[in-house]
Amino acid sequence: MNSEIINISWLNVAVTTLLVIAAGICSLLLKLRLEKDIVTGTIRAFVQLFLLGYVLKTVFALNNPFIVFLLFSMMIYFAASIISGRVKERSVPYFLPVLASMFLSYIVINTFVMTVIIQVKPWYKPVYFIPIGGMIIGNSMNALAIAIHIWFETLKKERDRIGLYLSLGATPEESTSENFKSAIKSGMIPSINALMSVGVVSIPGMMTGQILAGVSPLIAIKYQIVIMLLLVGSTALSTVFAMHIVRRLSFTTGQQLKV
Amino acid sequence: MPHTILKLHDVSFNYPGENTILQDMNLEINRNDLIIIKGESGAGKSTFLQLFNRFCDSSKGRILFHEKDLNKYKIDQIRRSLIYLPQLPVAIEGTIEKNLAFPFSFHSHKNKKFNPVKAREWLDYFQLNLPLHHDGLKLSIGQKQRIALIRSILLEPEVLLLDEPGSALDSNNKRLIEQKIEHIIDSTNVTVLMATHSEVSFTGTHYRILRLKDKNLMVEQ
Repeated sequence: MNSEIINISWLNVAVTTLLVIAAGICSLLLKLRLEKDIVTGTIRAFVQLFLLGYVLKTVFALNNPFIVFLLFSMMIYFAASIISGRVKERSVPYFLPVLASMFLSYIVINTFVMTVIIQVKPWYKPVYFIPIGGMIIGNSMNALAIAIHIWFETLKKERDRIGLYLSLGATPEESTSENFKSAIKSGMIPSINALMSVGVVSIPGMMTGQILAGVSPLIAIKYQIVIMLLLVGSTALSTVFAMHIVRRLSFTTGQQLKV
Repeated sequence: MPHTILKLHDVSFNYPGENTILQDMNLEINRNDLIIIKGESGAGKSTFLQLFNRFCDSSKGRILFHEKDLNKYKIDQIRRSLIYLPQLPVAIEGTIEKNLAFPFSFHSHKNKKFNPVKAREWLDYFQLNLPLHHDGLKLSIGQKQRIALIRSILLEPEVLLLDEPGSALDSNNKRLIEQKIEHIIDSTNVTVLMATHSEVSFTGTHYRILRLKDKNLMVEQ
């Protein structure tokens, strides 16, 4: 890595808030009523990233597998909370089962990447494990939130048809096969689109970071390719896994639709 | 000696945490019976019918199907043998043929095969002079109701649970449907439980009318 990376002064970081103030002024002038969110968002970004910076610094320095595991678990817990906050369905309490499925799939995928692809030693090395894990969780979280949202929406919209199928002897799987497919597809499309557009439309965040840190673009692309494929894979795996659980939870043992 | 197909023993029903809708009901239904369930709207007629195909599970008491507890059967066995027809007919995207044939692709009906010739006969029987390739979504409610009935009959269930099958029809068509149902009962082994809030025009003598009132069943005729 290039040790001469330019360190931005705090004064200059503060100057960038001028851009946010400009956004706030636009909101006021156009009566968008976004100014409150802009202020809260800016403060939250500062506080959350500050905390993240210190947490990461400490975790990297400790280099302890239990601490890495704990941080990783907390990230997954927050992701699952965000999903259940965004997609509310009282009749189907899916938080814990989905949390468990996310946990299992992300641990398996992240460990696989660490040990087989990047071959980091030790495999839990936090400098690698946490940021890559974070990308997996963030990406899959969005996919899962979309998939679960579409699932419940289409179930509600097609309640009569599903009821008809069930009354004629269809299993829950048979009566919702199209809903299931469209939920998973909708969740996965953004990561597949990202795969299509990468390098043509945008230089991805991680690659930008590595290039700014002085890494050769030829090394950076390898990381980026691994990450992109990993995100598609992890999104598919965790979404399919979690959606199977959500589907099961959407019906009673007597195969009645709960939603 | 008539064969008892369904038996209710002190059956009650309430949705979790809500008031009782049906209370301590007792009833015996023989094979090939025609039972009319009357009652005001909201009396629990649909819920009553849905107890038999396990869309609703009784909160107390037992329902026996061929002398065996309904809960001891696999769900697919129940839904293959006792078919419930909702009050509002649902048509799926596609032709009339697709609307009649789709249940045959379900695992629970894997031993049966859709027969278009038979389907045609039933369409004619119910005076639906439309080709099998006609768009199912372009049917009137009354036509959809008849299609829904034919769809269930083609699956040859033991019990048909009809929820207001004439509700969307004019009186002539309602009478037609009732005549046809009566004729089907006479010519097959099927048992029919039919909920309705209006008068019926059955002419045979072997049907029973029960009224759902004050959460229980009363014999009316």
